[in-house]
Amino acid sequence: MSKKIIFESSEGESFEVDEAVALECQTIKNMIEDDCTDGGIPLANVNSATLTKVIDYCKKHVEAAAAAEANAGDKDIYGANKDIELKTWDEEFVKVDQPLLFDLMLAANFLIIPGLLDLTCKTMMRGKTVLQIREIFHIKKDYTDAEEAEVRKENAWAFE
Amino acid sequence: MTIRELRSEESVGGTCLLLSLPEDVFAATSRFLSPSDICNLSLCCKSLCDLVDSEKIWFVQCELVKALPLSEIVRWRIGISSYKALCRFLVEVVKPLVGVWVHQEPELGNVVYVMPGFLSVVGCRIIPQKVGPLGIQEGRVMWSSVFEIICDHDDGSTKFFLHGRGREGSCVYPGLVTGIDKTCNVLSLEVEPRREKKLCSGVSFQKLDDSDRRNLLELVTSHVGVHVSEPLSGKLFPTRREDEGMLLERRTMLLKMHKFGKNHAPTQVDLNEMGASPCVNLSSFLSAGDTVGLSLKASYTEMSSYKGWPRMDLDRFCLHKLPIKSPGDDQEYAGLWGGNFGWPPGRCSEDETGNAFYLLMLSYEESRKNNGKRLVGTKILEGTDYVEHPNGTAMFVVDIDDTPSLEPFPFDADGRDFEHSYKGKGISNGYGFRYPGSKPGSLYVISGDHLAFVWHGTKDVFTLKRLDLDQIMKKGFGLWVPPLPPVENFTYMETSYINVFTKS
Repeated sequence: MSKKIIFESSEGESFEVDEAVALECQTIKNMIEDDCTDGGIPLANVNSATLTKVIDYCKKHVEAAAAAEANAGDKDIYGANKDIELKTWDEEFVKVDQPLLFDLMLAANFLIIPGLLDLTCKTMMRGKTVLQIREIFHIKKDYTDAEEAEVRKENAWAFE
Repeated sequence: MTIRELRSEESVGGTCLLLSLPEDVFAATSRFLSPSDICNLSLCCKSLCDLVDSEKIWFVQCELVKALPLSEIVRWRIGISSYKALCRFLVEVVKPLVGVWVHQEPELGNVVYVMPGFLSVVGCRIIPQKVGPLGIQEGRVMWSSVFEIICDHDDGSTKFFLHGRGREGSCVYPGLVTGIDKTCNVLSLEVEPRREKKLCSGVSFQKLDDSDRRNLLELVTSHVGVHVSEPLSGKLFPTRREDEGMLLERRTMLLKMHKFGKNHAPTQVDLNEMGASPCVNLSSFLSAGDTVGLSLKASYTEMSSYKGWPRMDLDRFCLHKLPIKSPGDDQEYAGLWGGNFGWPPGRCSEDETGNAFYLLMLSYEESRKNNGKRLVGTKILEGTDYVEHPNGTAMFVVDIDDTPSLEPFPFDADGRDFEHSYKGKGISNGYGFRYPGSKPGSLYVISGDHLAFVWHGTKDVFTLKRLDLDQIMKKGFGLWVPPLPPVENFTYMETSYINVFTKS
């Protein structure tokens, strides 16, 4: 029986998880190392819906890492497939509404889960064109065409 | 700010969510974004532009370019208006240009190491030389300056200065940077026609005849050279902390010189005086502008190579970039190494090649044998008096994935641990200069970042040590020698087998 860690969401709801899963969060890892996790960890700025998702994410990634290790000997055969499976899982995982995606990003930042921060960030901003970003965030363009062209020119260096 | 607070601020649209991200969170998030992502965000709307155009976010981007250590990013910020401008300079100039650039002539070494200076990149020629008494990494490395590109204070735009020796001593020759391709592998020194100080297009410089190109470069450098009282040494990168003030002052002086000084030559020149034949190309090239000036262009050209050494056009004023890899998981020994004949490390053998300093590029290639990989040590500089083999020759090739070499190391181990040994072949006298032969040998991996290749027959031993030229230069271990006249200083175009850089 592995050690359990108890999280408490902003609504006061308790979530029990395996220590291995909690260790996916750098912030919690530090707390466990400092031995100050008795009586549960209150997460005043993470609500239950978000916390459920975060725990799902950590669980999946712990399982995937364990599976990858178990198959380390047969890496050439299974390694690549596992990666694709996990990637597909991740893609499904972030198919949520935007406020939740934001909450996930903030939680990933607060709990320090680099993989999840990267994933949410990629979903919302990375590699997106201006039009795509405007669409994702329902942003109305407030530049005049001339202003936009000017900013574009100033920033031309950043594009390949 | 809690998420609930964020939610309460949430408007009908999603804009507010993005804008309500705390700056710290955004800076952390921006670690997963690239400069183009940041710029795309700022192109969305004005308020988003205000959010992302912050010092914090561009500082993170400067770090992510991985062209400069964090401590230096902070120091460089003193002399530039913003981290965004700095990031631009790092992305556009530093990142594409740093590395090892070479030319075939003279055969005895033409290696230009381009590295960050202070708000600049500097081209340093490593001179063919002997190993000093302190060994390779701790010893003094003889070098000469070739050029520098300085970053302007306000916007990260760039100014080019060729270095060289004029009649009165060290000179700088101002010019423009006319384009740096992010994947560049050719660096060319050119002359561009200008009209009212702006570049204008016409016949390309590269289309002119060899002699016309040389004559134009000679003409422009003879007009624009500015004598500098200081030697061009010790003032190109900060070797000590207190150097910053002096370096900033020097930069201000150079930028002023660039802005107000004479950095172009008239096109109304007597072509006969130039010694040029009045051909159609040249006159139409000249008629495109009122004046001509120097320029530096870094472009990408598809080119073939042999063991990593580019097959280059010898009649162009160009340097070629070597594809030097950083050591990685499966390419442990890739990178730049210094070496000499002799054992143990730091001691040179007593025969004639004894203390010659060699610079090698170690790289991996596929081997036909058992589908494994081979490690190739390509010579890119040698410090003998008279060159023995062409630049780009492989000093040794070993099979990495084969069974280890069982040949015992023939000398006293000098208290060092041997971690691995590989079987292979090393260069040996073959048929003339161009066609060296090879003889069996073994490469030993030795503790303390050393390698040694031993020829089985002769028991000759070649010892290598990983070389960090940046560190050597920044610690002030470089020993500066005066540059050649400006045009030769960029690329030496005549075939020569002796060290042309140190003869007076």
